[in-house]
Amino acid sequence: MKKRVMILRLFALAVGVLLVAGCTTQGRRTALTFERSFFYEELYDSMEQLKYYGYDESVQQSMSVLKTVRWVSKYEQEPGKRELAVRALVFLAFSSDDGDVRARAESRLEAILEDNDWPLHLKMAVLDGIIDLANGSNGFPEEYDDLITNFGVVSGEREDALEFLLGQFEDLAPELQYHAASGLHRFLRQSVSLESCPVNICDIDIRIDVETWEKGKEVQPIVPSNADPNAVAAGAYGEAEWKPISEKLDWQEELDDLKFLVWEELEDIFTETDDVPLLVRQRLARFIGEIEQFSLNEEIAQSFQDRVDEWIPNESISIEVRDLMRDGRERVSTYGAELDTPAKFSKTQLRELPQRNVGFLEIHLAALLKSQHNRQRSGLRAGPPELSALAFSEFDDSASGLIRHEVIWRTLSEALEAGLVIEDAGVDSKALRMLRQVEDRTQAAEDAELTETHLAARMVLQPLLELIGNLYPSLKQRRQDPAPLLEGLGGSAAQASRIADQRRYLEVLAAGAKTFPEDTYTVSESLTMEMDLIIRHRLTIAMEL
Amino acid sequence: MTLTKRFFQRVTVGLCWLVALSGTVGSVQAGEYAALRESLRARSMGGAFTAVANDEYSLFYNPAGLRSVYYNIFTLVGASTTFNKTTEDFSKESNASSALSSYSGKRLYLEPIDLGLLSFVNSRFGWSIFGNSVFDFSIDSISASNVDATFKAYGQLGGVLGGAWSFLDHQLDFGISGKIANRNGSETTVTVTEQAIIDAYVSQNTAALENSVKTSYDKKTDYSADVGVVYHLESFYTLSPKLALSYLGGLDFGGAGKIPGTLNFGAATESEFSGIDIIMAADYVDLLDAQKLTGSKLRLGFELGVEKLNNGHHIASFRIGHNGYLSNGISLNLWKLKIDYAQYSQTTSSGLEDKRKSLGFSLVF
Repeated sequence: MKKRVMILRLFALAVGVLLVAGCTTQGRRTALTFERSFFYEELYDSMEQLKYYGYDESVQQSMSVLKTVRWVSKYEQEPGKRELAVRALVFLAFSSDDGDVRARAESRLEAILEDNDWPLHLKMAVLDGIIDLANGSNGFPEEYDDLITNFGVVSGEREDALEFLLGQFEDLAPELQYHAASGLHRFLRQSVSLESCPVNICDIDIRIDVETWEKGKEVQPIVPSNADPNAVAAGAYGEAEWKPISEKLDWQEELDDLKFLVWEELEDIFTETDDVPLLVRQRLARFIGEIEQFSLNEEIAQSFQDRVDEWIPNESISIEVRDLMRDGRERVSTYGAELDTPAKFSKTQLRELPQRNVGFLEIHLAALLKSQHNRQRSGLRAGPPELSALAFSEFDDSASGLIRHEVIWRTLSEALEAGLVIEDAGVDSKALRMLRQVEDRTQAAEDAELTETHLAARMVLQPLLELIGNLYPSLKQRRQDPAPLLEGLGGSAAQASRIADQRRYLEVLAAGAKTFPEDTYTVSESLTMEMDLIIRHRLTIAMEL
Repeated sequence: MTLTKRFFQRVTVGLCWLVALSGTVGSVQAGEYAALRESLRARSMGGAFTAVANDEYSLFYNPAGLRSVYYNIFTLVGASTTFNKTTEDFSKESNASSALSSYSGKRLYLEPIDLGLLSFVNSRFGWSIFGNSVFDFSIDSISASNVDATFKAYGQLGGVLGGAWSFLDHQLDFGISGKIANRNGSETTVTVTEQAIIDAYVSQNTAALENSVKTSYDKKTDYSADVGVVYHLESFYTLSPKLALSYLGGLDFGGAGKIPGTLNFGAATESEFSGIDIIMAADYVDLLDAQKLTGSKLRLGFELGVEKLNNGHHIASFRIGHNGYLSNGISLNLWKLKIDYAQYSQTTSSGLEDKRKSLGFSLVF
């Protein structure tokens, strides 16, 4: 008995020693933070810290990190917390230095994408997290001189992530395929920047020297040793040149390769007529008109073009998709990549624009809108066509109707972002009416299987909302009351049953804060209490700006 | 008297060598849990290891446990020795021959060496090469110069190779392994009479003494497979509980002993508190009652470990357990040298407690 007591005493002593010596893992610390806190910044910082420990720390720390993100992603009640964990999971799945951590994180990503029990906003978070990883923003933090810097992961890991996304693409639900297509578009438009540069190319010394990154290094001309100083001073041997630093060129090369990887994979998606809806394939086909905006070097841009030249006559790709490809290239050849050549149409032709086919719109609409914008900048009225009629006439959910909406809404949205103003009266009510029409098509009876119409309507809701988010300056220009539009969006957000939809509406609502801060605040304040912490945070940020 | 003492010591040592060199040993005492190889860590946790298995011994308890091995663990060499209280007391006797009479009805149990060589495990597969031996010496009666004793001993060499996979988003682990062992064993009964000793000592006639030793040998190789599953109850963050089931295939070495096929169930939690890894485990062993155990089938274990190193083991671990009797142990992981100590008890076939101690050293990378 005495011996047993002694053993237990020794054991208690050992526990005491361990408690003093023990060092809590970051996974446990983050789990505790997520248990007690509801402050976005605190949770975000804790999760970023967690990513760092999962990236390059001991196996014990990495496994603790993995356990926490897996648990939070699945069992945490707060949707925003789950989303933060999913973003970290994406990072770990492709960037952890531990193979087991990568495999287990990737397995959870697959489960999220494949299992219908996971909510849409988390599925979207996986796709967004991958694109952010490829863009460098889903990196890991490191502190230098009290400054926390986000480092993007190396290109090989970005490549793995993109391959994962492209490998999953055909198996995704149509709505997610559409979302993934938007993500790929975002990636292809990514420019070579210091923020996106991988850690192995841009170390902290490169990062803090922003000026050299932007301007490059001055390279003096080669001057013979016996050169006449006066001739040198007069510039006879040429002027000093500013050349990009080698790190920038290296990153350009790697980013081009990553983009080409995506580009080549698109061919498989174009030919998957059974698994990928036409609207998604057409959305991807429209990228072809934007090759010049992908910030590629000449050689790789030519490789992109060569691929397109192979796709256009490829009969495995449906004719509607190939037509759009051809139209996109025709737009560039007609008006230039920057739409520098003005569009010349008679007023009658312009009035008839709403009746023209999709191909015509794809070729000419952007240039026409730019011409309108140029007229506005010159102090003139934009003139025909009437944009609200063009954008917000009846919703047509036929295959040709959907791509027509897609072309009009996205092209107009870009023009509005560039500064074009819609001069028509009642644009807000027309936009809201269109929104309601699309919403009606998205709603299915409870437990009813979604039809293609429902799915298509859910897809085009995205460009419509983006367009609506760009209407605020036009409303202000016409001194229109934004309240009906803001309240309409708020109402839709409140009624949306899916968090992903709530986010869409509230992001559009928050976009109004820049133009109408008070009105937006009034509407959003009543909503924030019901929303998850990420939405609340986004609204708060929008209000602060 | 001195001569008799020396003689007895020689006889004892000689018999031991005889047994060892002949490939030794019969079956382990019936009623005691039989396993191909045991982990000192598991012993100090009362043997509750079916769900815990997450180190180089996973292959001997539950192959599905490989999925819980998060490191690449390479054991260059590991050696341990185990002896029971009776053996320990006997070794301390200054006068073994006179003391021997007091060991009548007792049992000397010794595992001189359990050797593991060039073993490797990670989360997907693993193998282990091993050799070990057991001496089990029961002195049924001893009086004056008459000895009636039984030696059972075996030595075995073997290997295990296994792999594991995860399903259901890594919540269900499945493992399978194959094992092969060659066992040389014997059972020796010694019935030494005083006259036989006198004959051997005085007239150098050892015939009677040799006849008093009867040994049956057997040497056999057998192989079988083990399967196991572990289910992680992922929804409980803090405790991270898991349930496990393993079937360890039986091995029949004929006269050299038998390890019946054994189905074990285990549950364990793995949690962390203030940087300390805490494991709580419970096993219910031999669900099919193949081993006809005399002791408790319920095993409980508890482990505290601090700071895991890259060889998959904590710098320091403390354990207690219960398998009907209290057990405890400690491990120190000093860079690559791991030292394990376990103090535990087994229930013998007669239902009595047999207290044992194990000490092991291994080079783990």
